[in-house]
Amino acid sequence: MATWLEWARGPIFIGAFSFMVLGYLRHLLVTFFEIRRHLRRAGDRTIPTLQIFVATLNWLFPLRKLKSQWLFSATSILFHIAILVVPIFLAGHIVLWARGTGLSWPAIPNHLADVLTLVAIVTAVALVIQRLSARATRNLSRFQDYALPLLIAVPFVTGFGVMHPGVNPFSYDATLLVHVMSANLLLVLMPLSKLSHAVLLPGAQYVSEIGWHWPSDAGSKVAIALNKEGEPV
Amino acid sequence: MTIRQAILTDTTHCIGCNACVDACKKENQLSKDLPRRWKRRIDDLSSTRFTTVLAKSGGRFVRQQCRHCLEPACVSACIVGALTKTPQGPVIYDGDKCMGCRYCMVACPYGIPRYDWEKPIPYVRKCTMCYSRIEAGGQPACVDACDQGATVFGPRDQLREEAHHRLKRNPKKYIDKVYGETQVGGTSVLYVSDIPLDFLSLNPELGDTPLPDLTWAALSKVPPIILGMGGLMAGVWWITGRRQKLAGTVETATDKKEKKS
Amino acid sequence: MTTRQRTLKTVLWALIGIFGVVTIARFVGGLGATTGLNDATPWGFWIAFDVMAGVALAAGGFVLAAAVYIFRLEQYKGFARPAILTALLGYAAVAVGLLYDLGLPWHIWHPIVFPQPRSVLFEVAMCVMIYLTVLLFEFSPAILEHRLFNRPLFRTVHRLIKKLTIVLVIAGIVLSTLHQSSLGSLFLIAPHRVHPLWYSPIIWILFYISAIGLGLMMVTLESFFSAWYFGHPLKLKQLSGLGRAAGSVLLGYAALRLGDLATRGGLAQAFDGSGMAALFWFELSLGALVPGLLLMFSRVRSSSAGLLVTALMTVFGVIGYRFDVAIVAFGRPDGVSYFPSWIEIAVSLGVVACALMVFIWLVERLRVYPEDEEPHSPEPTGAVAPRLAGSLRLLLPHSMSAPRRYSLAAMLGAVGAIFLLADGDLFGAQLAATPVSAPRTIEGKLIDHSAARLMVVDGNRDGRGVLFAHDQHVEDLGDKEACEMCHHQRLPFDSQSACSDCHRDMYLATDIFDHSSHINHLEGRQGCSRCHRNADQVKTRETATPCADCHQGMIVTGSSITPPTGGSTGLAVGYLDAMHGLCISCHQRESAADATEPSTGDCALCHQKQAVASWRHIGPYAAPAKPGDTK
Repeated sequence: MATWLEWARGPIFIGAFSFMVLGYLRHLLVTFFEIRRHLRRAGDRTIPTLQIFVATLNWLFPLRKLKSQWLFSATSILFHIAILVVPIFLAGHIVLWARGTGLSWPAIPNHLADVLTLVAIVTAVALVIQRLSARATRNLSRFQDYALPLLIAVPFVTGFGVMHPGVNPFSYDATLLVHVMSANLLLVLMPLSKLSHAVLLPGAQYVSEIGWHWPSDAGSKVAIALNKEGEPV
Repeated sequence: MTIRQAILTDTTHCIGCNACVDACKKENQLSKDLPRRWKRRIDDLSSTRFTTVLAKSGGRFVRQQCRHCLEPACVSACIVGALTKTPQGPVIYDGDKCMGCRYCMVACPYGIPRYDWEKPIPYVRKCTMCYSRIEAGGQPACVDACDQGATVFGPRDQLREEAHHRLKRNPKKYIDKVYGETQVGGTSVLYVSDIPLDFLSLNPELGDTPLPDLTWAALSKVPPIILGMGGLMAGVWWITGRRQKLAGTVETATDKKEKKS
Repeated sequence: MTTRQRTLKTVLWALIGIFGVVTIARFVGGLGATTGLNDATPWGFWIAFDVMAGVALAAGGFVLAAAVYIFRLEQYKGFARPAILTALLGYAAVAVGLLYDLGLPWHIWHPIVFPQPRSVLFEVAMCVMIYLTVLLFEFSPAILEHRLFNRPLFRTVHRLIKKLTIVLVIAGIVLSTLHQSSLGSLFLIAPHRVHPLWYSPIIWILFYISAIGLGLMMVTLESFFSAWYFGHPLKLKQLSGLGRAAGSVLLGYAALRLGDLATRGGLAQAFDGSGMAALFWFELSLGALVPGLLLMFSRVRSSSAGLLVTALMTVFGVIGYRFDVAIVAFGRPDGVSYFPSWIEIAVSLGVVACALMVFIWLVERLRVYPEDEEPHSPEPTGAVAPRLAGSLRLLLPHSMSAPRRYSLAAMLGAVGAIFLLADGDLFGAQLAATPVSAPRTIEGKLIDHSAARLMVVDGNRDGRGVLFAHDQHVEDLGDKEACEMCHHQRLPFDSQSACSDCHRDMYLATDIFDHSSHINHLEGRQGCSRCHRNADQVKTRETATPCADCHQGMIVTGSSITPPTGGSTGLAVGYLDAMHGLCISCHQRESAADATEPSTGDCALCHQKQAVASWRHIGPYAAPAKPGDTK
């Protein structure tokens, strides 16, 4: 078991983590070059930069939504805070980073981590329930919209079990292995699934704005394609 | 005229105490010998061990070190002159010139030069006969450390005489051969022994020809090749050109002929 | 853009992704960590493939240049430019590959400032360097034809270079002759290492002639590639002519090699039935005899299948010749072997992939093939309409645009390489673990010896032993509570644990801290906080209370053992340091007190059977033991 554990948090983690980093890097590079290509061909090259900036901020910090959908928004905000803070600032994780790379940074107290872990578990389940409870969201949801919050909950549940062996009915090593492997799976899924919004969200408003900047001759080309050349719109 | 120095090792006097190895390590500030993949099963020489005492059956000990050939293959092989044969005898190494091609390791008939494989900035490592000590008028650290007089230092001619003297005085004890006297043109590290020392070289049939002569046989042909090949090509070019010109008068028929040629 | 073009480019990009990662590993980790090289194998895959084979494969450049410009065989003109480009990229690849092999690649320019005319390698380096420049000039017309250079200045340069063509070609031929042969001369200095079936005083002539044959067949192979990849028609008539020339050259090479062997009286060795003899015949047949004979038949020569097969045979056979000389037939001491690491192969493949990418990139932009009216159009970078055909659809959908597809391939290659690097421990860089055999005590004798009670422990039961400080161990491991660490009476045939159970490795520090034993003694989980005092801290070795806080007197006075540093507790020094530290300090103490005791300088005391024989001669035991001394 110890060997499996070392394998999971050694080579497998390094592979999964570099998959995430390089996957995101590739997304960013491809996006960058596609934006440049689009802009070169675009007829209208004026970009409403300030508006995009404001919209991006609104999406990054959706505090306004608290007014209209307060329960859903509050759950979501708490969920995001918990799943960002705990993995990065847990003392046990920082020790592993220090062991492998020599890098370390301040940690949060373990008690706070416990609380945030419970928050993450509860909100992950709540997010799924909320999504199921309304017809509109139910119709819009795909499989990964349900699966991902639950999958994210797995490392938190097992992590809590690892930190509190007294209340954990399962073997310590087995729990830790599930913890590490589920986290590795999430790392791999990050650039592949909707989890990619973790890095790509700040650029999303800009990219979708660019998408509406057609080449100047786009209209006539569409008309040619539709065999309606010369006809009034 | 500097005197050509040498080391004479008499294996019959060696008790295998490894004092020479310790002295060498101290002198060259070499670190501990750690078990690395790239030096396993060869011998004990490595980038952290320039000399070593090989234990042979029958309680014999043979010290292995760079032989400091009189006409060293490594020096002739070195592409940048990082290895040089000094007039005093030692073959020394200049890491600032070395570019790490390791041709010296290919060339050495005794398999002496070793490499810092574990380091991102590696150098060739081998015995330098404590050149700095010799320059200061001293003798190599290993010789200094030998209590038994198994390895001695002095002018090569004297040591050669001494070696023959020992063989003559005690013909039953020794094998009648001064190892390193003539092999590959002679070496600055001589051995007399009561057991065959062929294992010290990578191939027992080394012969007495200096190895650099072998490459020089091919290398000396470079100027003739340049002139010959250049002249030949220019000549052929001129001939084919002239033929084409002549053929230009009668076009179609000769075109085909040329292709066949 | 055909499917095969897209597939090849995808594979090449994946190789380049791997190449990028292993490049970092090579230069950060060093040669030992990333290659299979060792002190007996200074030259390996990179020299044999990237340099030896690379240069030989690029011989088509000078052979075709000679045929077209010197012998004015106009029908081969179409082959000249691609052959010269192949040579240019081939030599560039050689230079790049060499950077990986050199230990100090940033000194690669040193031959220019520290010339060594007596070194063959110096001659090779100079020739390759100058020839690379010559090739650049030879190829430059193709670059200067591009509309980007359609300016008066460049047109003048273009005209000048065209006038100089014949000088460049002759220079190229002379330089090629020199270094193609000198690659063989490199091994002249090692008659003691290269197997007699391969070593020859005329090895440099053999290298040169085989390179000409190989160069011709490489041009053939290249035509097959351009037919397969760019869809050019195969010019069978001209290829057949090249094949006939190549066949004669290859047969000449084989005859010369066998004749040379025979005149030197080595032919008997080729029939001695050894593995090397078999390799010799296999390599010579594959590279020269069989393709050479086959090419004598016009039926083989004029069929595309015959040409392809003979070309492949020649390429593999002649590369095999280079590999044999540089690696297989290159002598090593018994028991030492070499096999290239995957990193070495990945680097070589990566260099080739880069060269091929540049080749394709140039063909898509310049007029390399005279039969092309226009350069092949580059692959569009924009979005591609979805299409549902193709076998690799699931993995790499056709609807993906070129940048997306190729960046994905490179990224997957890179991740795969990172995983492989992380999974293998950069072998060789780590110390090889040398587990020690289990030493056992002899008769359990305890000797009261100047206040430190010592026990003679005989490792392999060969009559030679080391002194085991029993009481010191008791003290170090936690007094009476620690007895069970060695004496637990649950091992069959063994009354106590062997030394190697704790001192597990000759050189590396070993964990001797028994966590569960501590838990039991500290009343289960209630005891965690006795060592892990701060609840907010992670429970690791580093943050736990040091052993010495409870076990006072961990470090024995007078012992020269230095415990491993670095904050970790519970680690013991390796077997070698433990034994040396323990024995030598005692010996020093004793020899200081009594001049008749053996001194520490005599390592042979323990290490050579012949020197001081057995443990029975060691100080305290030689004297008859008093009854009170034995427990």
